[in-house]
Amino acid sequence: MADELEKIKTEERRWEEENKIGVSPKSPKVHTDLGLEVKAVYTPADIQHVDYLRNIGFPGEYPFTRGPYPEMSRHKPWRYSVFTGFDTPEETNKRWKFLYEAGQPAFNIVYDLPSHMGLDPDDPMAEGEVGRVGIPICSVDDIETAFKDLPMGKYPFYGNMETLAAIIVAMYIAAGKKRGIAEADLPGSISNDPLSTAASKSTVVFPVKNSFRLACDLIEYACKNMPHFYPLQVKGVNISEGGCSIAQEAGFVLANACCYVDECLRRGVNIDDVAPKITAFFATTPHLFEEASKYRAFRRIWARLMKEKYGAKTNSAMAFKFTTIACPLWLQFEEPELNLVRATIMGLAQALGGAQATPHPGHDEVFAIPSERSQNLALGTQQILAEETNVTKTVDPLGGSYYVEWLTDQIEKKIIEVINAVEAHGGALTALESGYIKREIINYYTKINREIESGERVIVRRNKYRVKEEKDPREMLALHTPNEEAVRRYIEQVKKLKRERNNSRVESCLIRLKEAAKGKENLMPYLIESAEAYATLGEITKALKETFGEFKAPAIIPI
Amino acid sequence: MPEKIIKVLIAKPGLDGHELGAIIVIKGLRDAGMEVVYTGLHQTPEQIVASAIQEDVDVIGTSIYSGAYLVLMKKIMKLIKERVPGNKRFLIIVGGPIPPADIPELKKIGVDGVFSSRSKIEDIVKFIKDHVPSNALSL
Repeated sequence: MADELEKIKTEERRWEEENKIGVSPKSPKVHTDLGLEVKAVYTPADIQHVDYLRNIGFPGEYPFTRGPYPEMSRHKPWRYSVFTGFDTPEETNKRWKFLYEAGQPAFNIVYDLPSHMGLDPDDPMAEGEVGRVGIPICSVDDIETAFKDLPMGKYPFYGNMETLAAIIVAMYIAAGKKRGIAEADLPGSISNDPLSTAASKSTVVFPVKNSFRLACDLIEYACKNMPHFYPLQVKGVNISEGGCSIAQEAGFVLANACCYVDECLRRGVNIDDVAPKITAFFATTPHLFEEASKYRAFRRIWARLMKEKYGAKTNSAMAFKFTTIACPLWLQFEEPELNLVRATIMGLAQALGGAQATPHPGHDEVFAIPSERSQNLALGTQQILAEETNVTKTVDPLGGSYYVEWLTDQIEKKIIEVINAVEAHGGALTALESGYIKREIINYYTKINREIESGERVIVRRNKYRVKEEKDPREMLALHTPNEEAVRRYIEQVKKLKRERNNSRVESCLIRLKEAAKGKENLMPYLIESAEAYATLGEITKALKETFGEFKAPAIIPI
Repeated sequence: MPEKIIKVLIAKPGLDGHELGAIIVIKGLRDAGMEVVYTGLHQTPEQIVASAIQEDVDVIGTSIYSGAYLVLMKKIMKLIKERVPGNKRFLIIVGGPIPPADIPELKKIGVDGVFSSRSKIEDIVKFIKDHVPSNALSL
């Protein structure tokens, strides 16, 4: 075996010399975005250090490099979907029905900015923002409307909500109860990761440590009461949209995940109860092999971390599951139909990387809320990938590729470097508050942006092969336009709700919530009680702000 | 007469937290020798206009990724009219994914330039240099 490898290495050197590889100006060195030098070809010699059973193993078994489940998507496709949310709960419900008919096995929801910030639609600060980038959710009434005539509880509900996730889940639980579905039977997941939000979109609402407490309240509650609900998706996509590298994405969310794990353990939750509840929501760039390797590496790091650092004993604690979406930052304005192609390639990377859920973007999403037609094409793309291409016939088909195994190892090292750097900067919470994480991400993207502007990094039809267009690409697409009339009617409904509900009940719920927020109790029961009384997101947030205070995003400009 | 350094306020009005565009522009303007003040996220129109007056800037650039650009810019323009002394004029630029159909409306309320993520930094720099009000450039 050793002789064989030596022979291969000798032959490789001969081949490189004969073909002048890496020595002539015609053959410059090639690197990945992480600065890894990539050879012209990989051989068994490049992975001779790999111990198959220790480092790769079998799917569904430690270290889970090949996947969290033994058969992955061989008999049942991964959960593909599209994110929906616009105008009003009523309008969103119509689109959900359309997607349900088109075979979407989940209800994915994206919220508008007032909802993310805890402002009711009738708040003056919300003017012009209601229903613009997602659905407004103000009270349990809105969850009921969104699920009207749809099988709530049968398919999972995914919420793209950060700091106020606990309140949204309280409303989901309250809406479920009204339909006779117990919280223990409610399936789904929610982002609930204010930490990655603090490093990106800053919809953190309360100061980081209080937002973090609320997030942990939901995680702890779900560990005990909601066996089918995943209460934390560490949000790589947020920082990917903010421009980070794939190693930063994986490394920063892992550092964040450890904060949540540590806090849950401190609260007395067992590692084998909390770890299976944690998933991630990543973004996938068009760099197919790097992405597939990122997912393989991430699973291995997670498994080792859970086992070696935290002493997890169960497979479900060590087997990492994730959602991922084609990274919106890598979709382009120019000839937007080409985004269908880009997203398909990213979708393939997700399939090869072993994703459990893949919300797919609309090709028009760079301009507006995706139209019904674009969402139909997005769902269809995923259905083709999952059910037409045969890529699911065997698990982890890239496993064993000399290049991919080498790359998986290299990316694993890069991710660990990021985690160690966060540790050196005081751990994730400190590194977020000091602005270290945000600065690192922006510095990386500044480099990428410079490469795009100079044309050194090719973006087809943006900086190369540009076809002279006479029209703005938006004029060729039937883009979503906001339904202002529906929004106006909706705001009136909210005002009516506030007039007609039992307001003294709302008030006493909010008083109890405020009292509880001052102590250390888990706030979920108080939030559920408030939601059942039709207290609004804005009112609950305001009550919490009295104790928690408000988040102020640091204005960081990197050098 | 030595050329005065152009001073720019980059502001993020409203609830949107997408900051990458603003930061790229800030770096670009600084590299071009301008002085840039950044408000940070989630600023109200009142806060933005107050900062512009206090910092005595020549240019106000707002970065808006959400759909609220018209509502926010109308408020900002109204406040400028009300609160800024008559002889002071700001150059107003807006950046974001603004649909072309809405650009005339923004221009009508007094916005001087509209840019997107496809605008080159050098074009934004040139626009500012070409259009910055003369009262700002004379010492």
